[in-house]
Amino acid sequence: MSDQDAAQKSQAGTVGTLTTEQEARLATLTTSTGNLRDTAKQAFKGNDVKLHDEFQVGINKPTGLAAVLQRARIQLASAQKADNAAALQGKGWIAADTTALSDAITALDSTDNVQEDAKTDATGGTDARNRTANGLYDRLLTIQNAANLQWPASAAGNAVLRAKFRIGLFPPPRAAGAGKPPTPPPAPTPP
Amino acid sequence: MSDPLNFNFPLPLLLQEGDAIVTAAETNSAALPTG
Repeated sequence: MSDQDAAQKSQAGTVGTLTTEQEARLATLTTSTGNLRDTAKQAFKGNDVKLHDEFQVGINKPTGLAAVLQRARIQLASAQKADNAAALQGKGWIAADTTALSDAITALDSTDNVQEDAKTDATGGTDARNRTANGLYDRLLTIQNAANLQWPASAAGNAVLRAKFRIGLFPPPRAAGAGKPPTPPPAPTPP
Repeated sequence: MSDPLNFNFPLPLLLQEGDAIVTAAETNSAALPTG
């Protein structure tokens, strides 16, 4: 295993939380890009700028899936250049290998989109949760307001019942300068 | 942009206090106005 392969395998482990399917497709892709880099090193020996710019030799970061895909696309475009393709073929990288790399990119890209969609869904889930929580909060304030009107603090003997409705206790007192102020609850009046 | 919460305390507290308030309302519902 070359140093490049080792770096890529390490890289594959740091792209975040991936599904099993993504891990498999990422492994396929990194194998293909690793082979292309190794082939390019032989085909363009000494041309460090070309190896770096076109075949991403020595570039392992950032490690996110999108960045991995972006580097793979740069390598693919380089392999598809006619003059590069001829040199690569002389070292064993044939057209079928370029096609396989293209397919590996497409396969991983599709799961990356799925992951992005899932993120969107998760955000939608947060929205729904917040709306539900806000609705519950409003209803609790309504109940407290009704209880406050029914059992005012000014009347004797209501303290226990008011405490059961958490009047004056909930919502909790807000720390100074902390975020958006909640709708104030009915304020208890000392007897 | 996601919907913000209209309060600034933890959700578990909302659920805990909400449970107490609803329990109080159920216990004393006869005295509360219907709406």
